[in-house]
Amino acid sequence: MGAPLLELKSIRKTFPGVVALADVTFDLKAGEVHALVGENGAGKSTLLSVMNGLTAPDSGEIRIQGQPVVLSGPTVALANRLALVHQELVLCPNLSVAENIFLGREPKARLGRGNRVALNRMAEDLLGEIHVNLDPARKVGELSLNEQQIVEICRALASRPRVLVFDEPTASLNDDQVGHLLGIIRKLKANGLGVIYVSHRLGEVLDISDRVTVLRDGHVVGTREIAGLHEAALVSLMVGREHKPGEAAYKERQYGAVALEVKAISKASVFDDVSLEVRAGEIVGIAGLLGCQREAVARSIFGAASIDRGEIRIRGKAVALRSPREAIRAGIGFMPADRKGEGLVLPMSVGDNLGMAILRRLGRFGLLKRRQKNATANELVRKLAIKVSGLFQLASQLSGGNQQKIVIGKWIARGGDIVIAEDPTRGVDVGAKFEIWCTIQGLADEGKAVLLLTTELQEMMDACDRILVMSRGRVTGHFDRKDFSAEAIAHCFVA
Amino acid sequence: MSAIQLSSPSASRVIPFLLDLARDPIVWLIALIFVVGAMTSQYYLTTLNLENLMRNVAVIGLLSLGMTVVLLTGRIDLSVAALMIFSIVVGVVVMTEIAPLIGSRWLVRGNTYAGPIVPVILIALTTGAAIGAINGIGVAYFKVASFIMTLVSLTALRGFNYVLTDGHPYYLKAPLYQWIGDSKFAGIPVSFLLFLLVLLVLIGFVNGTVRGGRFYAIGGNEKAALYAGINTRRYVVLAYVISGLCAAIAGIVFTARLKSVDAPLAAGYELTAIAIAVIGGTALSGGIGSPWRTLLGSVAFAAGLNLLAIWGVGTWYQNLAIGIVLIASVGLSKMSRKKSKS
Repeated sequence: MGAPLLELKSIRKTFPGVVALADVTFDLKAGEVHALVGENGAGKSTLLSVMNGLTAPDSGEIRIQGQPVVLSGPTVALANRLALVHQELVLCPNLSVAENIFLGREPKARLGRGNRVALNRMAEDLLGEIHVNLDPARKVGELSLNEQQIVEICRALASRPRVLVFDEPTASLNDDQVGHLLGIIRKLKANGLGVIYVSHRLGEVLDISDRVTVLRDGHVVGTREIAGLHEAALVSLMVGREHKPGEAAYKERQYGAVALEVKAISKASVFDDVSLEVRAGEIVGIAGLLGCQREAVARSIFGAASIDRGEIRIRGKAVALRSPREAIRAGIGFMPADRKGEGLVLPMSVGDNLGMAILRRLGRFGLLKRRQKNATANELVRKLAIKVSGLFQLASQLSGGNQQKIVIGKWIARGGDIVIAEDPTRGVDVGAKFEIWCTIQGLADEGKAVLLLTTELQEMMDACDRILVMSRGRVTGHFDRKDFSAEAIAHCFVA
Repeated sequence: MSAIQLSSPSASRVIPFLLDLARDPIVWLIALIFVVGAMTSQYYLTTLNLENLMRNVAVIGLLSLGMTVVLLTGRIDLSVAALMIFSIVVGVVVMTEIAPLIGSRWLVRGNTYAGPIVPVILIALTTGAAIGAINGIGVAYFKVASFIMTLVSLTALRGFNYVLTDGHPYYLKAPLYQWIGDSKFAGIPVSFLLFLLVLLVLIGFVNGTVRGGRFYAIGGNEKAALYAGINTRRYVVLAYVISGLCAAIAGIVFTARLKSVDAPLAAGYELTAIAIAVIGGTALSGGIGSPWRTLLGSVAFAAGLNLLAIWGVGTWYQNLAIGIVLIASVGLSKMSRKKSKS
């Protein structure tokens, strides 16, 4: 059998005031998928950056095929054929898909454009392996979040690693693509690779893994064989408490008047003749596969992109939203999926982020009413159960779930009556997920109209009152909650 | 398969290249300047003026090429103009100090340097590369913000220039220097040919090799480059070394034309270099730009400035014009980039 591919022994890592990892031991055999699960803040990210050489552990030992190694940087990790698919997208927007995939391991010096042709061909092959149709010559900056994720995965595969670490690889993939990805992972496994799989989607974890290690608060709660393990058992290991399904958050409500009405809006070669309406107290989802352009529709409603034809009415009044500023004034809040890039100012404090959308209200004669800002922020932190050490903690230091709560809190503070939420639970753990869904249901309870875009159809079906389905820029289906069926909705995906 | 693709005739690339060129606003700008110049002044298209123009392009073009490489990595080099003078000053001063040691007095008479020029050039190039390396190491390894690091270099080098020369100009007398500064080869000034040579080398390196492509990756997303196993710090140092070398070569061309070197020369040229790179489409945020486009930028810039001079516009107003052009081109490029994105 030989030594395991990768062994971590008694890894300990502390950050000022926090023990991120306390005595973590982990091993990975060749031809195995070993899942790593735990709530946000359990220490998964730290453990992964230790494996990738980005963080040096305080103590403990790392062995690769029995040999002790010091991973002093990503370069060293790569040299040991240990590759990581990053959760956040770490790509060069100014380079092409192919250049990104092979960055750092381009085929040796064939000069000039000839090289580019070869590179594109290789990228095409690689993309073909995971059955994705993406032009390798396109600039990554022009791609959607989902497509960028695919590039990220291909990049790790391109290094032909022996140990491949997936950090939330499916966070923004739809069910179809997840299936493809899992298929690839099985193939890699059959080739004798070791795969470490980190995901909040426990269904996938149970589906793909051989073993699972559960982390909680920097400790290993246990390492189990997957065979005979159930989702409920796994969840209770993770959170140490009862599992509350996403649906539990849903409540029936009375709807008010139509708050947002979109009438046949079109944008040339993006979307065509899209109509929808959301009443006060109603949660409406827009479902669709990658490329259905629902994100573009949401951005147009928020005034971040123009429309060619059609009309947007807010509380019955036709409006022309030329910028997000005007949309916000009209009472629309937008929670982007890319919360690090578009939703938060990471180097600013929790308090400043929460107060950002209400600065005008917090000012008097151009001076900031700090006390009032802090009072508002404190109230939100309490209401949303955001785990922070204080209002002065930087947003960048929080876990994904807590960051998302701040994005939501910002718009609660603003008090607009229409909210567009894009993937609010992206990369968020089970416990925080439930809390976020409760918060979003709470928004609707308060009489806000909520427009919801999530990648996981099941989540959308759990949370929404109605679902609209889009395909290639058109609305292809419309379902009330009582008629929800994954099959029927999926049928409209390709209509 | 791949052989067919790779050997696809270059003719198929020339036509799209020309089409791109014809659609490029900067080409139209250059054409416009020349047309207006020819219409408003009988001297604009004379051989003398065009040679003059080419010599101007050589100096500011060389500075801008180095600047372009640094800008590509998302950083800035404010020290180029000071370094361009400093490297020559070091070359001359070192040689005059060495002269008595090797027992030859004929090198220096008063403030005139009449010794061999090749060692001066070699020392200048070494100095340029070394100062570039120091800038790069400060920025990449000690994490000093590039703006601060090179601003400090700028101030320090300017100070050293005065210290080393004692505030006096040096006159440089050497046939080789005269050749670089004044001679023509096939009707084209030697200094301009030197610039084209450096340009070709840089295009080959930056746009033709894998290593050169790293500058784009680092400027696009440094973290991504780092995670891809690229030693980003080494490439940042390399960018500054290239910039330092270009500055030294620019210094050689510049002083060869003046036949002298003086501490306060070329003040403010670093802004000119930034302006040219930006006019050529280089993004100050990094990752976008190319040496080839910097050539277009420097031609447009020098031609425009030359036209102002011919019209008799004063130097101070010319400086004002540089500032306006810089702001306008940064603003326009940001706007057009936004447009193409949405």
